[in-house]
Amino acid sequence: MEVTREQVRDGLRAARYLTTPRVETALFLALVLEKPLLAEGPAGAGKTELAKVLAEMLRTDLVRLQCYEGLDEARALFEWNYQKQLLRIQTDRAEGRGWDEVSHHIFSREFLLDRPLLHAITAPRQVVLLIDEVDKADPEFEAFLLEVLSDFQVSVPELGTLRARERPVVVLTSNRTRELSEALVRRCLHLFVDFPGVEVEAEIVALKVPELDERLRVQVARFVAGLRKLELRKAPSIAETLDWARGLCALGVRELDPATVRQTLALVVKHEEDLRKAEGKVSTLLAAATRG
Amino acid sequence: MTTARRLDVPLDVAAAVRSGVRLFNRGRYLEAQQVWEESWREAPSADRAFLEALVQLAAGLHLRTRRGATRGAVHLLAQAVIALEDYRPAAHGVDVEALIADVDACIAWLRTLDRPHRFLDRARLPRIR
Repeated sequence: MEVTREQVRDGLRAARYLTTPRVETALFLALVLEKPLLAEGPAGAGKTELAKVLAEMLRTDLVRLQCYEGLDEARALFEWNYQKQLLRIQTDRAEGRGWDEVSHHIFSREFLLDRPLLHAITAPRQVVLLIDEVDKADPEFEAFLLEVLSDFQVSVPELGTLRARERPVVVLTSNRTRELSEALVRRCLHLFVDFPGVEVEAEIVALKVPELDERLRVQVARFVAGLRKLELRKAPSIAETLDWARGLCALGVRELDPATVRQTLALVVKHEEDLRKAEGKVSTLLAAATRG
Repeated sequence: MTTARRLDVPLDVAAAVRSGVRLFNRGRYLEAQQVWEESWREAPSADRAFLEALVQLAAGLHLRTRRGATRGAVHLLAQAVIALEDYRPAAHGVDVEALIADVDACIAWLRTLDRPHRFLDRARLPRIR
């Protein structure tokens, strides 16, 4: 694909995705080199959003494959529509058709249930394929995925080989709950997506919750950055920062003070245990967030 | 291989970068890679990604110039550029802006041909300033 760095940067901006030059360059190179982009990093740092924004930027559809333990080919690639096949058989039998005719019928494209991978491969135009949280899938599934990603073709015994007309743009995400196979990592361009710094996060708040006062916006970003250093079970995501910002707006808060923070902290910190830990640190975090 | 210094003596990052750059600019990519790798092991975390980028760069150019590999080289150069972004405009005496532009150009060149080309390559190999 012929794109320039500038186009990528402008595209991300138009899609209102604020990020670093490193992320812009990784996207640019993934598009130019036609390689899958593997985005690793903590949950809630904007990896999935990256794929959504990419689809918006390329003005195409996003096809999402959510990975989980036990995910198999039938759920990821295709499955025969058993119920529909059965109905067809019954109807054909009532009409007195023989087996040869029926079997020819029921193993046609019409009876195939497209799952995300097949959907992405057979789409009439190039789509963005998001393979989300690939670390949650089993290692065996990863091997299968590697095969699909290397040639974007799938053979269905009854139908022959289905080939992608246009290779999808692929984004994989991983929260690093386990190491991915060397082979998969080698096939992809690797990008570490971390939480944004205070300045960028304050800008994101400005973009998404413009009604929040500028001073408060910076305080919120600083406070959340402090929370993320506490080694909580689940560090606050960008989405949670935005929830908090919206909550503070709704309450008409003008200044972060200990009472307000304690009242609204549950919007950013979700685990009971984390909440207790964070509550103990409110005054320290607040002092750091409101200085200057 | 002739290296002036023993590889097991740790250097500070700036010195290691400089000593690798001298080797790199003479096309001794494998040796440059070893110097940077060695320094990477001991480096403070803020410098690690920078050294890793240099290692990838050297490894990519070694693959290209000694083995004639294109795809593997492009992959390593691309990873290097991504990591270098965080170090614009300059780090440890390296003009990162210029380096990124050079590596970009080298990637673009390598993409236009799929086989080794010793003489044409030579003019397009990035140098570190």
